[in-house]
Amino acid sequence: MMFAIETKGLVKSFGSFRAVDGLELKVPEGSVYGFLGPNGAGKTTTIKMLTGLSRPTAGEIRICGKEVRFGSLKNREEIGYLPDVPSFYGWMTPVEYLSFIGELFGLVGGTLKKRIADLLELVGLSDASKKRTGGFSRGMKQRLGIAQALINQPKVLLLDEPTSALDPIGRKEVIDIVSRLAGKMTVFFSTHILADVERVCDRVVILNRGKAVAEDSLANLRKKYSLKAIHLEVDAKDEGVSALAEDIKGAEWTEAVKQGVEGEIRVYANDIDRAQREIPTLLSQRGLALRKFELLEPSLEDIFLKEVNHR
Amino acid sequence: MRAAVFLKKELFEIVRTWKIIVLPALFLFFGFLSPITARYIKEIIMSTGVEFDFSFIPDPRFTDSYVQFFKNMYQIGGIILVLVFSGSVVGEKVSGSAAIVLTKRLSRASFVLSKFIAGALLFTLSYLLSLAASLYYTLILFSSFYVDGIWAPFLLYWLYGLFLIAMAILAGTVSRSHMFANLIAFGGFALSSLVKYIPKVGDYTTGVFHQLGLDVIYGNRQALDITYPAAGALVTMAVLLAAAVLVFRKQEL
Repeated sequence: MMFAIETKGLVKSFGSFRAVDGLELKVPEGSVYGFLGPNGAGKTTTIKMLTGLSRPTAGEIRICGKEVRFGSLKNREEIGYLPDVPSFYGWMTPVEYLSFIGELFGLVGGTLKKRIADLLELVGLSDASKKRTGGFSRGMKQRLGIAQALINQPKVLLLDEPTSALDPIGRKEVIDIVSRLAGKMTVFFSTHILADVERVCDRVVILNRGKAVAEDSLANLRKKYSLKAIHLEVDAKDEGVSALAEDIKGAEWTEAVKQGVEGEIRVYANDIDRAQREIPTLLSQRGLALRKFELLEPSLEDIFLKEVNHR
Repeated sequence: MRAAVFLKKELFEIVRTWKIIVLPALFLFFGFLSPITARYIKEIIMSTGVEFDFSFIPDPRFTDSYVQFFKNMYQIGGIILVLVFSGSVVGEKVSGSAAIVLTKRLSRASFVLSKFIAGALLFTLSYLLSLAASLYYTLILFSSFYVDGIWAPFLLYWLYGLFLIAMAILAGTVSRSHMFANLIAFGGFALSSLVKYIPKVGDYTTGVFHQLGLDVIYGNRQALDITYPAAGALVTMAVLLAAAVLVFRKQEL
């Protein structure tokens, strides 16, 4: 299988400090891939190496199967890159800037014009297309940044912290754009904002101190870090609820049971699959009605904090 | 091809950020000012009310206008060029705009050389205007402007300006901040007038340009005597630009 992005033993040292430490990445084609990590984990350093802007100390990078070499022009057609704090030429308008960037890829005439119009529409800057970018808000700059990164119709879009400096509205706008790109290209998206990842990413890698500490689909990660807990709400009087709680406590798959108010029961199980199957049986034996049955999932934050604090 | 796109952007930037007005205006000012101060220096001193015996000072000649012009250009003109162009590469590195364009199909060499060519064009335009003003006002105020080989000192200054731009661009390329770029460029500017004292090589450097130009105006040297120093400057310029490209290629952004 060919990966959109693949790194082998990627290392970047600054003196004796290893900002990226033997990173192995395998980003499947077409995925929206969250590159998670606390500040200083090595996310920007990694992305700069992926773009060819900085030189790895050791290791190998392939994008769409082609090796990335520092400073080489070979991979430019395949990638679109948005730096964490994008800077344009303040004296240019978005149309002028996108024309300039498009021409750097050899685009001209009607093709270029059409693409610029489409991109401005996609990022919601059509109304500001004739205003100078010098007066743009951060949110507008990020959106123009995404547009410039897409001008060459790249196969891989590298976004470095695209939402970090934005207010909630700006963040939502950027995330919405990313979700519209899902499936059309591989989006590699670094962030420390977990809510953004949960909304758009289908796979994540968690980076800490330059090393990948967890890598999987969100669904698998949730399973792996499962809290093994079920939240029940039962329509019954207190005696009925207590009786059910006792039944559950007696089951061999149960670790602990906590009874709350108004028919709430929380079950911690050592075998969550059996608990899921057998709790309804226990309920019906008691003739109780179920109001709510919820498998408690770990949030990405739980997983993230667990991984990052562990090591 | 891509270099042409970036050069177009550079020229566009010169227009939009008013450099197209500012630099020619400054140079034009010296073009006017030099003949005027040369012609009216006595009157200017007298108007300040200072007691001065002018009998020792000969009447101004039209060549004084050129002496004054080149004095201004080699000093203040040089400082202006260094100030304006030392920021052009480092500015894009600091702001981050370079990091975007250099992930497109634009080579580092095209980036640096486009900046030099755009700077050279702006300087050439500015210089031609000031030169025309200087010649015209010299003619008006002194009724004469021609000496044999007058083109030589003017050509020397043009080469000097290009040399300074190449040096300023190298300074901006090796630096990570505006302050360092300015320091290095001014260091280079100061050095460029001292290199003439290097034995053997010194005679072929920009350090001799100012005096050599004046010698041609006074008729002490032939215009063609500038050939070797001019060639030396061209070689130096090529070396500076090649160094800028090589340094930039190795730089991580």
